Amino acid sequence: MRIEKKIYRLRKNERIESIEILKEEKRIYYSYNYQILKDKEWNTSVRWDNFQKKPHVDSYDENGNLLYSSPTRVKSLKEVLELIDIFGKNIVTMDITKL
Amino acid sequence: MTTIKIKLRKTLDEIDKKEIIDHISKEFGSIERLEQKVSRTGCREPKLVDKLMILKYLREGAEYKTERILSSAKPLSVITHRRVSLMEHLSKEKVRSIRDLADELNRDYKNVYDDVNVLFENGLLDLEKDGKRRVPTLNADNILIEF
Repeated sequence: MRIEKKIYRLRKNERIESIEILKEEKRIYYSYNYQILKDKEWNTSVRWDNFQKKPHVDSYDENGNLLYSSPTRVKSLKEVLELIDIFGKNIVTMDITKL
Repeated sequence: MTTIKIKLRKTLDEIDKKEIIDHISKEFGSIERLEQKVSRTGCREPKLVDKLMILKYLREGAEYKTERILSSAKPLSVITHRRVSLMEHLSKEKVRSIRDLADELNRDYKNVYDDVNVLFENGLLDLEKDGKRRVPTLNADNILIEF
């Protein structure tokens, strides 16, 4: 069993914090957090995770309050990085059901 | 366009893992209490979900690896001998504050404060909130530069 925490610094004030738990190379848990830096604190704006085996995506306001939550298909870190690369900060205001 | 990647890596040892388990357990009382809290708050407290999952699998003996990936050459331009010493110190010792760090390095507080902020802005260390304080941390025991 292995826990892998990765932080991808995308730009000065944007990053992805990824946590994956692997059991015999099978991913049993993931959370991918798109975070924005504000007042020296990294705040999650959009998050994909599969807690309790329910893949979903959530979005948060700048104070960390949950705005929307929607089921989604299972995501990989590669897909999330591609989404952020395509949409950048606009992802924060997008319809998360489409993510 | 540069394709340079700076990777800061660490595989946590048993002492590091025990510290995490103890810290989370102390914060919430027990894993059961954390589970109860997560079942109440769910997605509203995403950090708790991650803490619960990390705690659960660390207790089952999971290995824990961290990696920080910086896709820019800029952080290299801010690295000085003193800042490397500061990072090296943080990679081995935990400090309670920037003032503690300055004391341990026998350096002027203001200079250490400035260095910590420059390294933070460039993704080379973290500032964790502890009450009103910001605690500099660095989960890395090696730095890899990939071209």
